[in-house]
This record gives sequence, C-alpha cells and structure tokens, in this order.
Amino acid sequence: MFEIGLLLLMGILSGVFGALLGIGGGTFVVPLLVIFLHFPIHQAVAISLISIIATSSSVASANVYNKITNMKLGITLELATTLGAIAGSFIATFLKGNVIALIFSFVMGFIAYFMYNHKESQAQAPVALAKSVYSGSYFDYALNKKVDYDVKNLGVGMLISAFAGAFSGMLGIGGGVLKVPAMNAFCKVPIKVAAATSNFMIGVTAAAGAFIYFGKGYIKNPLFVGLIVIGVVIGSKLSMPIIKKIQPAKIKNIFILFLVYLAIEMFIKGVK
Amino acid sequence: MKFDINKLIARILQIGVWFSMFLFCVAIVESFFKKSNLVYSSFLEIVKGLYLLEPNATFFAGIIILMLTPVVRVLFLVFGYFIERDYRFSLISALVFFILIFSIYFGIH
Repeated sequence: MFEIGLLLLMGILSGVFGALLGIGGGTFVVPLLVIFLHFPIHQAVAISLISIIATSSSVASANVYNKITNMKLGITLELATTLGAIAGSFIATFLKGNVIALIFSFVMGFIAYFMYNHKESQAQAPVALAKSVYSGSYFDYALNKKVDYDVKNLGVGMLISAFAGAFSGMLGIGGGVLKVPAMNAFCKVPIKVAAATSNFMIGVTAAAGAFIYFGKGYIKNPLFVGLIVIGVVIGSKLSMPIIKKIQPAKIKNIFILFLVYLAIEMFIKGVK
Repeated sequence: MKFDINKLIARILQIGVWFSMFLFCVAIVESFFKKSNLVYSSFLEIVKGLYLLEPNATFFAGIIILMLTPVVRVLFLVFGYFIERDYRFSLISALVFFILIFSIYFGIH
C-alpha cells in the first residue's frame, strides 16, 4: 500500500516538475527512481520511456487537433529520431549502469545550464519566399493572428534529431531540449510549432527505444511501470492550472537548482 | 464529411492513452485482491492472464497498448496521406513504420 502511494507520488512529482520546466516528465523519472528508490538505471530508463509515450501522446493529441503540429516535418524527422533511438538504446544495453549514470549527469548539467540561459524567443518574421512542401501556418492566440512559416535547413534538423533520438534511447529522456531550439534556430520554425512538433515526435522516438528495453527484459515489474505512468500523466495534467496561476519563469530557478542537485547525485552514483 | 487527417491522428492518440490508463486502473484494483509476481513473455499468456484477472497481465496489456499507440499513429499516417494523395509523405510514414517494426523485431531477438 505504502509502495503504491510512493510510486504514484514519484510519478506525479516528475510530471509536475517536467511540465513546469517545459522539458517533459522523463528528465525527472530516471534520477528520482535511481537516487531515491535505488532502481537499476536500465529499468528506470525503460519506465521513463513508457511514461514519455503517455505524456507525449496526450499532449500531442491536443496540438494535432488544433493544427499547431507540423506533422509532415515531424514524420520526416522521425526517420532520424527512431533510428537514433534504436542505436542509443542498443548501446545502452551494453553499457554498465554507472556509465549511463555519468552520461545522464552530464546531460542534466547541460539541460540545467541551457534552461538558465534560455530566453523565450518570439515568433519569427513570416517567411514570404518560395514555399517548400513543409511550409505551414497556425493560429497564434497570443498574437491573435495566423502565422505563416516555411522550413529551412532540413538536413541540420535531421542530424540533430538523430542525436536527440540516441540520447532518448540511451537515457530515457524526450530529447525536446535539443530538438526545439534546433528547429527554431536552424529550420526557422516558430517556437510554438517547434515545441508541438517535437512533442509529437517524442512518443514515436520513445516507443522505438522502449521496444528494445522491453525485449531485453528490463520491464520486470509492470505494477511499478503502471503506477509511475499514471502518476506522470496526473502530474502533467495537474500542472496545467498551476502554470496558468503562477509565472513559471519565477520558480524556474528553483527547479534548475533541483536539476543541478540531481545531476550531482547521479554523478556520485556513477563514480561509486 | 471531409477527411481530416489531424482529427483522425488526434483521436487515435487519445484512445491509446485512455485505454492503457483504464487498464492500469483495473490492474491496480485487481492487485488489491490478488498478489501476482508472474512475468509474461508471450502475447497469448497475457491474453489468458487478462481473462483470469491477473493484475500483472493487465498491467502488461496496458504497457503494450501504450507502446503500440505511436506505431498505430504512424500506420494511420501512411493511410491518411495516401487518401490525401500525398504519396511522398505516405512513403516517409511507411519507412518510419518499418523502422518501428524493425525495433520490435530487434528487441525480441
């Protein structure tokens, strides 16, 4: 009974933290399970990937319905993220747990640094040049107008997506923290479309990795998986009204400190 | 009614998540009545376990449905773009679908 409550709570906390920072629950599931509940890291990564599929799918559903997601861009970049995820998770099954913990701590440190320095970029100037097959438009409620855009430098987007996929498969994170800025900076996609499209891809990417872990028998206790997944979904839904009430920017630094703390704990796990 | 690929995909993702959440909740209720440490390795065993109200089988079924949700979504994109006569993206979706099938095959073997 106590165990059920604890696992649900872990999931809810991961979902809330991830949503408030805008980086998805996955970044928190692995360190919370490994540091506080002493889970073997491979099992934690497998659980995290499955919870990512749930949160990505439920958020993606709304974004696809509202036509914010660029599905054509998403499915094209998925060619790279899924191959990357298969490679990443396959490599991870050969690596020792402490090596993965070390890689995780470095990636978390990078995410914390990135979140600290990150400035919300506003919508791009509309692109009025020759349109590619990926060009799109969406209605921006904040600006109260339709925004047209085109997709540039697809090759760079593919390359970064492949790396994001590999990290996702290896560490059980979504990889949006890599893809969203890349799509915005290199592909010239408005930030809202980039975030929605990245989220759309994350579910498929996580599934590609999850099948490898599933097949290798890392999903040992389905009760734990189910409880954490329910927790993460509840957590990310709970955070929606919280985000509207408080200014996420104000509490961002507290979460960044927590992220740094988790990175240090993972580093200690790795060198032990 | 005009075919809308966005509505179709949004609906598929929603159904997948809610169906697996429903199974997880059923499994939690089952686990109050029955303790099980069974680990399932075949699809047939899971179906049998579902019938016997084995909590672990129900949890596994929820996990598998969740993992298959993105795969089904990609498959429907293949058909959706085909219906829209957008053959290029139908082909790209088909390639992603085969990569996922490869991942399932690769994971099991």
